[in-house]
Amino acid sequence: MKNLLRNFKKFGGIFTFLFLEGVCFFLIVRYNEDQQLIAISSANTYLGATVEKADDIADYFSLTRQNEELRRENAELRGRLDNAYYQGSTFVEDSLFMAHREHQFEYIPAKVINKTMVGGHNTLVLNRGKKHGVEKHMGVVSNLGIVGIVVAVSERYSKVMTILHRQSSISAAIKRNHYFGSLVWKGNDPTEMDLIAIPQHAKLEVGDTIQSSGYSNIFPEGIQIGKVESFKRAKGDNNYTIKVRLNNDISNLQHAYIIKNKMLEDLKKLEE
Amino acid sequence: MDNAVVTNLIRFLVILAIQGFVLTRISVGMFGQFYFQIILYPLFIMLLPFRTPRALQLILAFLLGLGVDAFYSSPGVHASASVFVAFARPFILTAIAPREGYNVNYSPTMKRYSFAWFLRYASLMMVFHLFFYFSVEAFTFVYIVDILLKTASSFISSMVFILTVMFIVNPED
Repeated sequence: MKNLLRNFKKFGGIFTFLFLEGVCFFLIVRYNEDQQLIAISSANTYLGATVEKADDIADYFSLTRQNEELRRENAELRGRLDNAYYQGSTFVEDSLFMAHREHQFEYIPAKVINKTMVGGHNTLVLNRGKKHGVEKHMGVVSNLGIVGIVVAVSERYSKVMTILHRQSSISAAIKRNHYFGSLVWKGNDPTEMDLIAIPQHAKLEVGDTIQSSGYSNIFPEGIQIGKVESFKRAKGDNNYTIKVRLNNDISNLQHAYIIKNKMLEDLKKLEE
Repeated sequence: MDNAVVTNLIRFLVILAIQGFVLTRISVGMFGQFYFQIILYPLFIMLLPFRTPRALQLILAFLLGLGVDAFYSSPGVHASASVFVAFARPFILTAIAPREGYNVNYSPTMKRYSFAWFLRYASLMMVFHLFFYFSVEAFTFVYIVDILLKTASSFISSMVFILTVMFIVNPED
């Protein structure tokens, strides 16, 4: 026993070190394998309340209120855009039939209260949660493009996996000819993403607009994402890899809109 | 409760708050890449008194790392680097020991020893910390160039910040 204690005194540091590193790596591996689990276990959504307070110091009181009003108004206007409606008729819509169109996408205005912009797993926290109708897997956009997807929701806050996340993959299309592929991020430049799986017979030009495809039913069709900067085809690959210069810069994002698809239930029924 | 415990407890909270509430927001750097980060919190581990038990140093470093991780939403990544650097601390201290050795009742500060000594000490600690942190963050050595680049650039920004803090506060223990 005495020996054991003496040994512990001698090697205790190493034991503690190995044990604590073990705990750390357990956390890290769990985090890397399944970011969804981490989204739930992350204290971030709960830390949100404190962080928001710290943020308030930076905001002038009246500005906060005015911004809030403007955001709400913006969200409402966005909800009235053409692509927010379900295309009920296969004919070209005429303003006469406006009343018959069904509303599909609703926008919830939100403020970014915390962001983690380091490394390959960038997330945001927004000050809207369950209470305001936010659910998991809803899309998030800003005035300049797509921001990401909600991965965790608490009562008043929601956590967003941005498109600048190694696990993020967004369905995007070329505006001119409607070929579509997945938009992924390689993890270095926050203003540039890769559009993969565009077939090689698609005609491409530098400067072509990339927009959301609308196939994911998370984002309405036609949200501008960025412009083609360059494209190439690897040897033996039938698809192009396109470098896309993003319209928005998520690292200085302050306001965002969460998109609610009111027809998601309908679609889920079909897919069951 | 002796004085050193209270001092270090306050230091723990203040450093965690600065790192979490302020420095997380200035991580985005030049050239449109996330290369310049300011990492301040290893300063807490650096300044622990010499007589702090080995296991306690590691546990404190672990808790501090977890606290920082909560702000960076990366469970374990900062904690592992900070535990590692706490483990490496005695070896680094032995390696750069002044000729007359250390006084067990002191803390390794700039005031007790010299600026040149502290600069060497802090540099070694930060290099170890940042390199370990960026390696764990990438989780593979495939991106070794990236890791080294990030270590070098964040080292500069962090060291400038840490030395500035030390010059302003300049604690004795």
